[in-house]
Amino acid sequence: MRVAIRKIDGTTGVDVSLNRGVAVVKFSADNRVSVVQIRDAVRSNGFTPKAAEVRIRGRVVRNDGAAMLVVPGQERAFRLIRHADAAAALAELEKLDGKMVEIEGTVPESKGRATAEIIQVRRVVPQGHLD
Amino acid sequence: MIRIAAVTAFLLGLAPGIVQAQLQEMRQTIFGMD
Repeated sequence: MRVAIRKIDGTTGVDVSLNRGVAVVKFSADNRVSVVQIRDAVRSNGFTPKAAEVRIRGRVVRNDGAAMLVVPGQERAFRLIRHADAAAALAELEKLDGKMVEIEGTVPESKGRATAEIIQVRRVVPQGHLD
Repeated sequence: MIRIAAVTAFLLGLAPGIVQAQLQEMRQTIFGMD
């Protein structure tokens, strides 16, 4: 599995622990890798991808009142929803419409190849104020 | 789905070539063998 993920253009490091049941993937600054690509690589090796914790940068927009994270230059978007453990994080996004942010959160398990994926937002960091 | 594509296209039209944004790190939980 490590080799299959590492072959995806834009990944810079992969650490797979079957004991802990987790694959940790790092990405290059200019990558265009999608969550679906990583999950396909997991499935092709006979494993089932469950929820994933991600750090991802993008621009916050509103679509019919719902907060979305769009990735400029890429044909996909994430719908941003409340995380059970960090309800206040989503409220911060209301002040950041149109801004680039880094988001930490959970992408739940998904069965299909949806172009709109969901992130349960745990933490929001406006870009330019990264620690 | 169409609306999402429209939002993306709208932003691209507004600001072509703006900073790329994407996955920084992913911790994918994996489960068992098929």
